[in-house]
Amino acid sequence: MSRLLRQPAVAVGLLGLLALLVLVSFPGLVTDHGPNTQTLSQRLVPPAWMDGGSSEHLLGTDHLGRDIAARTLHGGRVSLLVGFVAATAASVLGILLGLVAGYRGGWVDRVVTEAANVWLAFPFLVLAIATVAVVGSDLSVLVVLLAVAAWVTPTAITRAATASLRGEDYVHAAIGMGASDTHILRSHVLRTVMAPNLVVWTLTVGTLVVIEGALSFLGLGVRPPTASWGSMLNDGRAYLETAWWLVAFPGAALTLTVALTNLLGDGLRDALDVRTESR
Amino acid sequence: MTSPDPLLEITGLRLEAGAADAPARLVDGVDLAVAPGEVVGLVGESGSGKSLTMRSVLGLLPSGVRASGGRVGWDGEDLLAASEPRLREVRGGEIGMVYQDPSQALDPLMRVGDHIVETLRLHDPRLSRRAARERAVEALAAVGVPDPARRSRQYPHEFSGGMKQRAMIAVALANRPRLVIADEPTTALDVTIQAQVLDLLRTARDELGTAVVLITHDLGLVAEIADRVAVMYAGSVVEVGPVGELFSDPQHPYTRGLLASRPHLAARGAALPAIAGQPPLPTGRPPGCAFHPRCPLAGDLCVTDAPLLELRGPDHRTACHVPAPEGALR
Repeated sequence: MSRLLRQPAVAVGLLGLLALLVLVSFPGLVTDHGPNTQTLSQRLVPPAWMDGGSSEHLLGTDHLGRDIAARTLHGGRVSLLVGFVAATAASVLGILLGLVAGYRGGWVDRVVTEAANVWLAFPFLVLAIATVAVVGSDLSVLVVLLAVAAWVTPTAITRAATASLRGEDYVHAAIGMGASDTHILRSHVLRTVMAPNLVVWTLTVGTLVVIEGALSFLGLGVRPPTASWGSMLNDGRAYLETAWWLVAFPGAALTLTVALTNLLGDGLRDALDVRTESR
Repeated sequence: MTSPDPLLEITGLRLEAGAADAPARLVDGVDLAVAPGEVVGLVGESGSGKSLTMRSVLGLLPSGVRASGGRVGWDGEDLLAASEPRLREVRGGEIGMVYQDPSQALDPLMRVGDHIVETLRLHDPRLSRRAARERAVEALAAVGVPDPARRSRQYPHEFSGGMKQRAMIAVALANRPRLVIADEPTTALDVTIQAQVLDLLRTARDELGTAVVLITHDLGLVAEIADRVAVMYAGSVVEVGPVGELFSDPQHPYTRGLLASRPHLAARGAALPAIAGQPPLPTGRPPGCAFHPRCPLAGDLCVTDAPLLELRGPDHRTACHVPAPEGALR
């Protein structure tokens, strides 16, 4: 762990994300306003440091007089929650499928591989629109959709790593000392596939936060008035020329989140990958 | 054969691969018996089927290879017919396995001691992790790993090759098996380490009464440690006997060829004698005696009829039609 933190990318990414999580979890640290409280007398107030700004609203207000800082932080809750939960679900699903496909081989492997190929060829947005049209949009629907969206990568890397481990002498040696298949998967294969999956998980969080933003932007995400970065971008789009702060702050938060997860993911890859380490 | 009650008794074992109508006979009617506490050397060149024969004992044949005949008797039970759960009990519990390359056979992400903990707990789920750790340290101490308590918490990459093989042997012996199969256990090691590893196997035999099957192509190792030797050629045992007798009075021309092609200090500079030709592929074994195309003594009978293992001396059997003329090829 201390070796990991010595990687600057890992340290910055991890601390940045932690700070973000704290802010999003306790928005009271920054603002006392509720995310959905409308004050119609104070519409489109610019950020505090600009002319006409007030210290009341640090990042200004939107077209309904709602506090941008509060909405950005509360929206971050939705975006990050969905991103983390969905990425975790996708990793768990992918690891299980990859372990079975890579270890068993044969028809199981072919089914999983073909399913992944078909999935990759399928336009996700169409599926998302169709799903939301049928079952409606809801936080849990969003999580399931995004988890399903991201299952291929963890499956593929787990499957490849497992299949190559299957031929290792120490796996044969474990069989030779009486280990069952499940025991080998649990105690020998799993620990080896965890490192690349940790990297993929981190990068997936970033990707899913963006996809969640896109879906909410299109109105397929959480229902208004619940804030989410994507829906805030959509709301503020009409005022882009007169009140840039409506989109700038949720946009910056989204960008920052993705940059931090990518930084963390890249750092972890460098730190955990034996091949780059030996150089 | 030495003992009326062999621990392991392989009879007529046939292993095949490929299409059912034209299979490659990888192992073709092997007979081999190991008595309790006996060290048997199984000698042969690559592809002679010696490793496959012993893998079939544990039900660990590579995919595509199947047993098509014979019996692997283990204490009265036929392991070829045993269920997978029963085989898992045997593997690592009753029969231990030591592999050729210790640096490949230990999980690089697992502490060395945990390998022993793992095999102990696989065969005795009621054993607590703590108790298993203590026994792992004892097991490492028993195979001569210095500072075993500290070393058991290290990872395989912190061990030297010889130390890794000691740890492998500790894993193989952890459950006090009645037989250890050592598949070329010293091939990947320095010569100086080889002797120490052999000593460990010998100690296991002397102190625990563990029988050992040593698979090797190194006749020197066999001479040093084995009680009996079985020589395999092209999927069959061609000669089996007590080590002293087999070395001093080899009966099969192939065994004689092997012994003659060892380097001697006395004959420095001279070219080593070699057996002419190549061993046949499993798909293209010649009819009759598989060795006849390379045999200097082959007669008409050798071309048509496969010889059977016949008694040539006390407990010394050879599969050869030509009786050995005393000292003919030595």
